[in-house]
Amino acid sequence: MQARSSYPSVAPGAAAPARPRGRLSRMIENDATFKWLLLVPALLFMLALVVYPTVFAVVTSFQKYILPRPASFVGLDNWRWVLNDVSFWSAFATTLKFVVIAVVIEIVLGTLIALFLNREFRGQTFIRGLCILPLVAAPFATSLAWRHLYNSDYGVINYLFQLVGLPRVEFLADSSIALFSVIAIDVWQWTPLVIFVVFAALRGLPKEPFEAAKIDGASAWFTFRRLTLPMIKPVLLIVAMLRMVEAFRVYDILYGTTRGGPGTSTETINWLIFREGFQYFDLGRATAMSVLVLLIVLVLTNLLFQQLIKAIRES
Amino acid sequence: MARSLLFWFGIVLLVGACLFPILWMLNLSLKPNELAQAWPPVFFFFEPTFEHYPTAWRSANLGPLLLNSVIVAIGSTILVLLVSVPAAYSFARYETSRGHLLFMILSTRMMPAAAIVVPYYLIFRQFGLLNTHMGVILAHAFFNFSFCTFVLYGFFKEIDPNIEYSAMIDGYSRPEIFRRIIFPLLKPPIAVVTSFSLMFSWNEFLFAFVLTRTDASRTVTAGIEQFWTMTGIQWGPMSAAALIAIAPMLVFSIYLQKYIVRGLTFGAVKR
Repeated sequence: MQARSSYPSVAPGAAAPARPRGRLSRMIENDATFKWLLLVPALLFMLALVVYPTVFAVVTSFQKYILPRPASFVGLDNWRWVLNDVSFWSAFATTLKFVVIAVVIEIVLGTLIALFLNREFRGQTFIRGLCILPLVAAPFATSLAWRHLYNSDYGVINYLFQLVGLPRVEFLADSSIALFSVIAIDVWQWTPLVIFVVFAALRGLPKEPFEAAKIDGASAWFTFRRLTLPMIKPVLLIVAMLRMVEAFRVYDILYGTTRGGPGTSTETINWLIFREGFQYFDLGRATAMSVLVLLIVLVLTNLLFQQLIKAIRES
Repeated sequence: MARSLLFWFGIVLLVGACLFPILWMLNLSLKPNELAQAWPPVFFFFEPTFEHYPTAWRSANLGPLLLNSVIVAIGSTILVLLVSVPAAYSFARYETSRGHLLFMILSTRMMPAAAIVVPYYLIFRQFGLLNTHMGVILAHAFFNFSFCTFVLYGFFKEIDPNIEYSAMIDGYSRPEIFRRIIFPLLKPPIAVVTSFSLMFSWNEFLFAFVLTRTDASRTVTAGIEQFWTMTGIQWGPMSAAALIAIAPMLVFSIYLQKYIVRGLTFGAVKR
């Protein structure tokens, strides 16, 4: 038994303790029961914090429940209302628009910056360390600073616009622009994540194909298209998936800046549910929306997940 | 030479873009009130004032809020570790339920926050958990649970099971094996999961805000909400408070950068 010497901390001569007896210890020593014993805390946790709230939400969605009055069953009323509600579907469209635009920009920009940083230079670790800061600062707190930067009367961004001769823009008060302004905050916050992931993938690539391409005189673009991109594609897909899931629940930066406005131009699903539940206190409708969103997201992520697995297998 | 100059110009642009909003927060927090809304904006040359920090500290009750953040972050992290370490071990070593349960746990991560917050509010109201530390701890633990289990699962998969089998043959009991062999190997994954979980909890806004209505258990990130007004914002105190709220994580990230990156990417980045 060669493996003996590799036990991390079991001293070779140490006397093995006697096996304890008793029902619990027998369950611990037996693989078939032990593996489920280990899962007991997790299962209780899931039951209390996932299963119970979900069942509770489904039940509440069939009730008329406007705080502070008690709940009463009304059948499908809330569901009929939500499915016919224009603001629900428009919030859904806004959310999709937010997710798609933000994630596409973050992936493209992040990949470009990672390619740009992929070389040896003085102070590289320090500089990459600075790029992580948007990721670790609470988004609600930084969005407060963005609100000042975006201001049309005294904001720095309008000042920069003026310097290069661009007109003054109402970044947060113009309903055709506000959504893009909020997307820009999300891009600022999350592009570093894409940079870090792609950068790590680039560093892990094998050297030989790139040297061969160089000897053959391939252009930088050709090398990127034919070598780099296919090799980092799985990583890009994973990070895109992660970002989509996270972007779907954008909330903090909306709360710090536009609060769904002007009008309903930045009203996402999250925002709508929050408004229905905690400003109008119509919990029946809010939970009906919640359950519907849950179903839609589960179906969407399942589809994405299958595509992801397929794409990773192919490459 | 020109190429290198262009490269450094790019670096300056990149770092500037990453840091500017945070530096601007610092700038606003040190600027006298009359300059906060000046046009053109004042960048450098002004007499700094330090009055906004004590003002913000007192008016927003920041001391207790920071303490709440610490309690909630540590509490939810400990809870998550207690639940996900054994679960991840079971999944990795025994393929318990052949991955179905693991996938189910992972998919709770996809649940949109707003869809969960309303039932949580109602249930916590019933059980008297609103405005308590425990309420926020449970909510944050829910969010981190799936992630932590998944990352730990990846780590456990890498431990050679033969080490355990041979120890078993030598007559070691299961608790002994855990104490002497598994736990010492667990330091790096626990560091990843812990730093991610602490950071998530510190920065989380929606649940910390909805599940608390008083300063008794509200975290600092949710607490600075009180500075938000439609008009007549006190930019100085607000920026000072926001900076105090994010400062611990900024410092934290200097030391734990690689763990945080590994955590944020679900363990995809291994360096």
